[in-house]
Amino acid sequence: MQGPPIPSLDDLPHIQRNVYDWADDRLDLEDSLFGKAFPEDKYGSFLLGEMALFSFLILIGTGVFLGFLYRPGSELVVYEGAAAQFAGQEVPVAFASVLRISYDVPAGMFIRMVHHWAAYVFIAAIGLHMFRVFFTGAYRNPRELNWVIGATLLFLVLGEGYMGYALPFDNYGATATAIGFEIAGSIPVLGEFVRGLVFGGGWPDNAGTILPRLYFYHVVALPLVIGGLLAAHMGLLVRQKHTEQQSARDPDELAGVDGDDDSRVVGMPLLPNQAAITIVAFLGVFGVIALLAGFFPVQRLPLWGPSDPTTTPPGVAPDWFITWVFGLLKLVGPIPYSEFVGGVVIPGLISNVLVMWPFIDWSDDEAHFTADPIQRPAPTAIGVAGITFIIMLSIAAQNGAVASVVGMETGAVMWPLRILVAVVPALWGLITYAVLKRGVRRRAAAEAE
Amino acid sequence: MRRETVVIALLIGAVLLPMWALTIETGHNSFEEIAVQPAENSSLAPTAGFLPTPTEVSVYVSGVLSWLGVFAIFGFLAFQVRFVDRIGRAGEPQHGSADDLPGVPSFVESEFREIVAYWPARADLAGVALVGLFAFLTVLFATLFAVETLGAARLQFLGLYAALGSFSLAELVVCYTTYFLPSITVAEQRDHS
Repeated sequence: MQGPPIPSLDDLPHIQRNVYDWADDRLDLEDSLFGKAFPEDKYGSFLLGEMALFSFLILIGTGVFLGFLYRPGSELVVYEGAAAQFAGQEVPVAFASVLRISYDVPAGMFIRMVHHWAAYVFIAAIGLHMFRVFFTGAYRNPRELNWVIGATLLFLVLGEGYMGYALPFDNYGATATAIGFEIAGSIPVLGEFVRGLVFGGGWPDNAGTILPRLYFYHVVALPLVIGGLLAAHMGLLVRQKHTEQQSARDPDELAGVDGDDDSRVVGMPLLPNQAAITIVAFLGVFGVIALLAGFFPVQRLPLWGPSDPTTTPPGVAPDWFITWVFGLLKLVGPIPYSEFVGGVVIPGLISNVLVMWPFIDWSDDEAHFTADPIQRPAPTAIGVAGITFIIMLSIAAQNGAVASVVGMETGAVMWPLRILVAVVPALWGLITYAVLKRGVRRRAAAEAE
Repeated sequence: MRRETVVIALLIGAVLLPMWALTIETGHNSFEEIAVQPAENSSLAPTAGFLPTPTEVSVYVSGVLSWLGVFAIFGFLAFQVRFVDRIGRAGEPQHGSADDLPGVPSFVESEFREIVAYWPARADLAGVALVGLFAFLTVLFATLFAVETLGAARLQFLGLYAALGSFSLAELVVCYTTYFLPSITVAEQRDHS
């Protein structure tokens, strides 16, 4: 007996069209979105935003799993599980639930590590994406608003990471988290009020009140805001359309498209070509995060034990993505309101300049092609100086290690570090500016000849 | 690489690499063993592994690894994009409308958008072999991952199998895209809503 004919490759378009027509009849699909043009560049740098997005999706997926098992709170319970050091002992319920996830639930440790590393990769991917947008001038008119949303997202994500760091209520995370509470309480006049309003009291004394609140911020409030802003970010991208790298166009291959015509955007259609690349991007992101999760464990609770306000773990530091703020706090030194100046005023100024940058580097003219960084001496120099500043602050945060390497007392390295943090970024910016300006002149002269 | 790019890379590297070296040198990674006493009727051994990696990497070192991870993803994607471009777009492109070109969905063209270049799918034996190979590897690593999850659930093995399964599936999609999908380029007017 002969079955139905097997479709050949030639039949595939008809099958696809039938499926599409079936769905379109019922859902009135938005045709123009499916074919939307996604510009390409030969290095795949336009996929950096997708890397961040997919890290967020992995965070949501693993976070849902962890949310089923995590219990916020500081009341003591007896842990009865496989982590031998605490088996049969009374520990805070939050600590016990994370121990259980890690050591008593199949693949729980792996999923928790994937969650942790996805958060780290999310932050780093946003950073790299912003570098690409900054240096290629993709934030310029008319895309200023999307830069503002993206930069705001960065700071929300840092806050989201901070909230999550505290949740296991281990001694290391709890001690590092206290730095944020000190900063919140340092605001003149309003400090205590702000700390009570946002967190519900002082840390870790009021952990029983604060942990459920941090948990709510971490799993509901902030993800909703981040998800909403991500949707707005992508909605604006669709509405305004992507910038395009002019050098990626090959007019010899493209029928009827001029190399310098920015009234049209050229790229792959969302379906089928860009969608396939997007799937590959997701899988690449997950693969690397899985490797990091498998081979580089972080925040192993048994090493530190539950929160103990009477002890300070050696070498305690906030998570790496706010190391630069830690460096600022150390450099400000013993001045009045030092925590407020180092933890609120200066980071606030830096954040505001970052968020408002498109309005500082503003032009009436719309720009739809990305710029060549070496053709823009001033913005590129400022970008290099900014990156150097953050790196120098991160070095200053490790002042103890610096002192150990150079063979000095920790206190003695602070003034040299202050001078270096001020001088090196400025010097690097000036060198970049001079080199790029010279290159611009050289190319202009070569073209004139 | 242009000389200005080299200068900028050297400037950033001159501060970044010492920072990373400092971080790795004094990062306080822990190699302390964590004792696990599996319960009866449980085969879980989450801390078991085959490589002597740290029990915990410090917060500073995790920052270095995060950036290296992001660069690794970027490198992986750059390679895939160039592979799809180099193989899938070999030769001169064709031109025409969705009705004339095989394998083009109707929605690709609209009042505001047209096809400006088209490379047909190769659909050759090399594509079949590669898709078959990566389909096999995907199933293999997915099976190993499932077996590990239901057994000892060792962290390093889960990470390795998940990563290899993910990369295999990525290569499967890349090869299917490259060999069995036409490569289409469209031009779309910017000023339509």
